[in-house]
Amino acid sequence: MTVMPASQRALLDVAAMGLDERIARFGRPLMRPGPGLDPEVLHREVLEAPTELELAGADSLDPVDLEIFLHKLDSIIDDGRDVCKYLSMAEMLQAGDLGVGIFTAKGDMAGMSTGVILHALLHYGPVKYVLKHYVDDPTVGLADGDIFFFNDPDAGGVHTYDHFLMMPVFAGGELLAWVACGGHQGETGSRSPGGWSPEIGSRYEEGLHITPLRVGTDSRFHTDHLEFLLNSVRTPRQNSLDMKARLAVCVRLRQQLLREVERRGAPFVAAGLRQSIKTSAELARRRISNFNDGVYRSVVFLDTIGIDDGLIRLPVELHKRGDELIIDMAGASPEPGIGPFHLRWHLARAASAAALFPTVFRGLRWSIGLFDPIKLTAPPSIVNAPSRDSGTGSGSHTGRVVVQGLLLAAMRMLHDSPHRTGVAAPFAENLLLIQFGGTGQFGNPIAGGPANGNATGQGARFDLDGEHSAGFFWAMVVDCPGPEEQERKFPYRFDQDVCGLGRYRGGVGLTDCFVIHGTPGLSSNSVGTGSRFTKNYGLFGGYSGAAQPRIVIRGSDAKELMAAGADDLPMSVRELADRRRISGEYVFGHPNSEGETVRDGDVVVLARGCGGGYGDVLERDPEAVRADIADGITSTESATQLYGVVLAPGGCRVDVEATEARRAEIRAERKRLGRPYPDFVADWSQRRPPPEALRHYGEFPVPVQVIDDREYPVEPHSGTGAWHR
Amino acid sequence: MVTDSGAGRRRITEALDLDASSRRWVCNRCGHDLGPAARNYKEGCLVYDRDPREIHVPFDPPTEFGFNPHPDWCRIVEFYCPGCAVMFDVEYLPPGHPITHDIELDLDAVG
Repeated sequence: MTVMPASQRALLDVAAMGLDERIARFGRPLMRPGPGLDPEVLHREVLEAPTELELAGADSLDPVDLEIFLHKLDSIIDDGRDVCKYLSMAEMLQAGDLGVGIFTAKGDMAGMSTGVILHALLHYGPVKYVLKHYVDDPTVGLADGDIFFFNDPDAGGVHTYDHFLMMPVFAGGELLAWVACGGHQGETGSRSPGGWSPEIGSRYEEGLHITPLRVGTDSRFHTDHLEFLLNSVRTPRQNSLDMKARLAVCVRLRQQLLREVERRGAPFVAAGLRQSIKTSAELARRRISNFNDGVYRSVVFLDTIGIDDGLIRLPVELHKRGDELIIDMAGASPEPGIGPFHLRWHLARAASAAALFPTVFRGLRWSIGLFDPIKLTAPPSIVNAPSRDSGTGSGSHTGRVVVQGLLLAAMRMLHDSPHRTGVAAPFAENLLLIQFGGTGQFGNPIAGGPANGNATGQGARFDLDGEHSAGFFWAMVVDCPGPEEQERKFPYRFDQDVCGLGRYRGGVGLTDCFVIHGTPGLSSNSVGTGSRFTKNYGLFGGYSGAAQPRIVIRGSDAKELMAAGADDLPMSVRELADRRRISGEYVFGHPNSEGETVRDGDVVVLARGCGGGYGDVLERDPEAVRADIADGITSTESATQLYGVVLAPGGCRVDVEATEARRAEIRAERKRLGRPYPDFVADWSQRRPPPEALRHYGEFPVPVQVIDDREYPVEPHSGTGAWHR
Repeated sequence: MVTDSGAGRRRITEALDLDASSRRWVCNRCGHDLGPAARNYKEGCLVYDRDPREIHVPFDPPTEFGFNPHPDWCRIVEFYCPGCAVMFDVEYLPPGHPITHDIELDLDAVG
């Protein structure tokens, strides 16, 4: 790109723009087109016009029959999700880090499984790309039984580590619907085994980028395509099994949908899919109408871009007008250009669904119709990264912080409404993931990581504590079979003083402690955030969950201690770090590492995020604090210092009088230390974080987004045919 | 909408009410007036900048990375009622970052 002198550019000051102008200019993707990539497809916010078949069936939709059909549809989809979990080999897929969806003939999502919402939500992209560019292309075309694979995030994937299949469903020779399935595979032939490479410079180090590729016909894989894909990864056996699992799901979804066609007729099924979207859209608007009009804001921060640490600002402004929501993310930090933390507009939009569907739209049926009343605008920045080459492997981390910020804003809208039952602090976000690459115990190549990373602590709810190791932010309705299965054999102990405190406390996340055994060495890489700036936010006075370190003990004697039957091994991260019962070289680091070799006997500890609290700590029931102490998740010191709860000698009961006195003391201290707002701001506004914290931030405190009008035209490139023509 | 605070007040957050008739923020716990609802309720609060290590207990001995946010990168800003000292909100902010005007209601529409 030729860079013009600033004097010759047409510059736009985003901060000076009104919201409607921002929506007009930035409420669409700025992504560049490429082979197999069509920004116009991904930017479609509107639903497609109904097909003739859908119109023909509209009159046959008896409300009761329709309800029965939609219930059946959801059963088919959830069945597909379970089949995928049980047949897959990659641990993340077994943990439910996947999505299954059924789409209309034109690619609008009519139903989706629980699990990771954006996995299914984005599949309109590849479906609509095939319909727009391949159906009439004689070298590709579209036929019953075709199988398409994709994983490119810019084609409608999430990051290259997520792999998907989709198939059209024909009835009587006419295109009726699409089915799709997929999730986190991990190994994609990227620069590090199992993916998650925090130190990449561009997308070209993140492995295969497959835009919609027909890898099979007549419901069978093409051997040449399959072998090409499997030859490109380190774990061909695992990827092969998981490809077949996805195909089994798609074939099963297709069969079950066609069984409904036999029973009810194709027009009914087609119209039913369309009506499910329409109904969701109507109910979403009705739901939104119940909230107070206004603007709800939050600002959240990343503390790393993987390759380097630094604060990244991510603001959310949620505008509620009548029956519509507008999400404005102006003021975000600029695109860093290196590292994998870039997010695209369509991914930011899909991330917002992960925040809103289970909370604001709690109880409504999930389909693309829920998005009908929502607009998202984001000027070019880390959340709408326009550079074609920028890495997006950890864009999901950035997206997660969008989820946190949007939830914090949305909860402020939700509390004074009939839907207060959806009010909760967000799931913990400080995620640490680790991948190991090398040779497994059976001599097989391994490249991937454990799925326990999804077992974070739930944020406290408006009337209940958060659950421990319950799930994660991408999917508030998800299973964590790994922890459940493990706890059945080995009851967990939870870390102390790590969950978010409040009137209701957050849940504690799961910690993994790996002792490397039976292998001379493994390559490992880890990725995460939240070591210097926690993002496990609380709500309405509740404190956040803890920050998280990554701990490695090199040359440890852990195996010798276990062999000797030591009965005083550390049972929590805090115990491990404070008591140092295990000998060795302790390394306390930030979450990101790449290409690190861990050897036999080394210990690797990954603490997962803990949920934030809800409400003022001084309003927590003292008996609940006593129970927390008994469970080991709150120390007596924190109980006294922070909760203001004093136990009687022996610790078996609360000393009511001493507790009242201690709480009165803390309240008096608040009045003594707290300063009037103007005085506070006068001093506060003079402070700044250290320079090393602002390397990727943009201007402090609010990044100025003056952009070049010529670089970012109002109309995105539309592309009228295949890219190479 | 939900009006569970009585006396014509709307319960906007756990401890923050809106008096719809006077259009003023009011403490849900003690009734303390926090100022006009057209402005940020935080302007009517007592505000304190807390070292995150006071809440998020560091390892002992302390390490560069632990369960506590780094105090130079992250501060906890607490907002108290001047009347009863209930804590309405906490913000985790880099030092010097502007306080968030988190709730700006359309008072004409709220009614």
